[in-house]
Amino acid sequence: MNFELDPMLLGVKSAVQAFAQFQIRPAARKYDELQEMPWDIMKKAAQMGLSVTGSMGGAGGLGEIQLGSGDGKGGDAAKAAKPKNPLAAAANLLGAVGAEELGWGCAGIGLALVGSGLAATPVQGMANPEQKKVFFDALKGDDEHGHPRIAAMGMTEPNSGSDISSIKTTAVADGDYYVLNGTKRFITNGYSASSFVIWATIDPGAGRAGHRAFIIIRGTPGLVPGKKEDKLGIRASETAEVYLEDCRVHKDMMMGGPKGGKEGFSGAKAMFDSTRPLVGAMALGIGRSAYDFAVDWCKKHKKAGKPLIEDRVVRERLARMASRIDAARWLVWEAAWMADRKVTNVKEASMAKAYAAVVSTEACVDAIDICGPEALSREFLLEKFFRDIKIYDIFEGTGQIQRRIIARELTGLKAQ
Amino acid sequence: MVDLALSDDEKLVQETMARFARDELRTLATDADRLEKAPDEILRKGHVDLALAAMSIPEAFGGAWDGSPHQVQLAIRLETLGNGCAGLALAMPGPGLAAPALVKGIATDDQAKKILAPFAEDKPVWAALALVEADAGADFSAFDCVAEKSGSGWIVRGRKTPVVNAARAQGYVVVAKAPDGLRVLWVAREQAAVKVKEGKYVGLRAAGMGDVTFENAVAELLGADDAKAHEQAAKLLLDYARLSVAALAAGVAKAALDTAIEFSKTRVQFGEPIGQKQGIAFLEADMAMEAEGARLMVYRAASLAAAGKNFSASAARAHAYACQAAAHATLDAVQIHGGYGFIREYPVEKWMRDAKALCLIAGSPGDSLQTAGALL
Repeated sequence: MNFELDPMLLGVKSAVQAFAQFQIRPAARKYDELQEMPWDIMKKAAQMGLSVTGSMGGAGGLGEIQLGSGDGKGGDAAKAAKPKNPLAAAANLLGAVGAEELGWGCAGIGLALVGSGLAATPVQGMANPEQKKVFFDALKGDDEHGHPRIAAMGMTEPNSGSDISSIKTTAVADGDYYVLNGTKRFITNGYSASSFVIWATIDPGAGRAGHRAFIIIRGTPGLVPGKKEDKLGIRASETAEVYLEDCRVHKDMMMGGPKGGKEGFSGAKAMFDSTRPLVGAMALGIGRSAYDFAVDWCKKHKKAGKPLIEDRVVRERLARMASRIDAARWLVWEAAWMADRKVTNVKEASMAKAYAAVVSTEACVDAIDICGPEALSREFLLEKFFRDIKIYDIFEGTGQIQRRIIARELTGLKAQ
Repeated sequence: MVDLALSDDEKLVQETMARFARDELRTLATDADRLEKAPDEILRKGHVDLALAAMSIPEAFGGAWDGSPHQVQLAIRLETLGNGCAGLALAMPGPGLAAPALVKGIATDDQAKKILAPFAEDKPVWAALALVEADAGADFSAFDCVAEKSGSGWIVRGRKTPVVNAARAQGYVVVAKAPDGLRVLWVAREQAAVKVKEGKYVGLRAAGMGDVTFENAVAELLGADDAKAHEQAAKLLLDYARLSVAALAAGVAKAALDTAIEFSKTRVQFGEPIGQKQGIAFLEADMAMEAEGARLMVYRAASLAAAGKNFSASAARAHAYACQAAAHATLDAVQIHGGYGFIREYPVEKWMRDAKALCLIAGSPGDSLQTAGALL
């Protein structure tokens, strides 16, 4: 058994850590207040070689980080399709390690940096070479506003959240095209994305077997970005509606093959096995930031003339936070490590995601309790951590959905 | 390179221990608990057939350990035996929790050889760790037990509780306070100044836990009379004791989880297995997350120890976490079993009691959090 990162991963970790500390953290409050995408930071990240459009898991993504050798063009993820990087063999673990650091810096900005991976991951897993080319070519260079190009994945709908099998967006064959109609909601990068992966059903009566994912490029008639949401947290990450209004997509852009079967839905499930540990890792980063805040605060502030950190109750609570954060980190690492070894990690991915969310939510709440009302001022970031963490127990499968999956894997029974 | 898989050697240890835990410990656990006694035959098997003591005694002292880092294997061993029965696992002959003082702590080679040699024989013998106290727990600064120089030797005065294998030990590794700091000493059992009272504990009833009172008992200082070295040794003893208890607790948590899962698959209410109810499924998912978190924290602390690194904070966190994970998992396992969980015919009520008792023998989870907190 070995719990130590090798020097290469450690190098990447410290580079991302430095980026989080010196580039992300100082801008965290600003973008939270503006509720805008941190385009300048995304550019800097790209220059550093931190690909913002690579997949989060699998080949590429954070595994594409090449220290000191960023091409400076930004957002060029075409190369992510064929990784030559020795880090690729540990891409999921590397992603988890990096995502924790990004989440520590600012979960909103962090998500803006890696959110495109939510779309790139299924493309890496399901698309043929031609589809990959279309998807990644559309992410080259800057968009019309001079912003780095980003991608979005559209699964969720107004009435289809946890129950992803119930999506209503339809794809109806019409010659060489499919015509898509429907509404996608809570879509990360949904307003500004250049490449989209949109899930729709080609057979509403077939349930999951009818699900297919389509690659759609910005500017395609009928692909209409909708309103941006005004959110509790992760406000630096854009969340928007996407409308599909008689949107015609060539049949060659349908992933998972035209024939029946479960390719479509299993593609979605495979995607989650890679992304859930990474979402857990980001949550963990928030928990750690709340913990670090509390330790720092308790060293500086006194109660009855004594530094808070010397108070036995405070110490015990901080140590408890630290031990639970540790446990969550090993669950995240285990799930990511299994994904790298291409071992089934359905249960572990859900455990990592659900547990990191619980532990980090507790860390934020406990930090507020320990530090007291003064620490809740918006002069400090603790209140932001507290707002940011909530979504991590909701998106990418709620805590309850994760527990259903874990229990199903444990018992073989499907709990209702 | 991160690799969370067990090595071939580690797997072998796990398989061997798992067979013993399943076929022997589980079978005898209920009776041992009821009789508050570990059957001689199982102790002999563990000692002779599995060479549990010899495995942690260096070859130079007659044991079977070649000296290579084996902390992860020891953790796997305790976790797996704890999965069978934590009480019987603790009752196994050998130096037990006192081993680190004798093997890698402060004892001189001559002392270690003298004390450890009998454990390498086939006749089961025990040594015990007399560390925690009734009021102080594992908080050294609050210890009442004192060590004093007396003539050319030392004496120990005070009460240690709970001590595992209190009555059957032939001697104790005692951590006591001298005027200038802690001392780690060896106190032989066979003297009138050592009084042992067997305890009536809620759980771990096969482990022979009890009170040991030293009334100016003759003691042998382990190693040189160096306050700093002794404080280090005392801390190391506590680190290892916490790691050991954490490993046992992780085993108990997993036992509770697996048993609850099996029960929920076969117990039918409202026309379906209760595992199909989200109320049950969610409990099991939470148990699984904590059990796995505990296991990984234990292995992590053990691998730090194996690498020769400081693992105090890691062991303290693992101990606090695993004890609580075992407490939660066993409470919920009883809950999932409903009325069946409350009767002794099923093992889960025993594990619930064992989990609570585990929180006593290396100090409480709260003590561990204080240690971890003080290291911030």
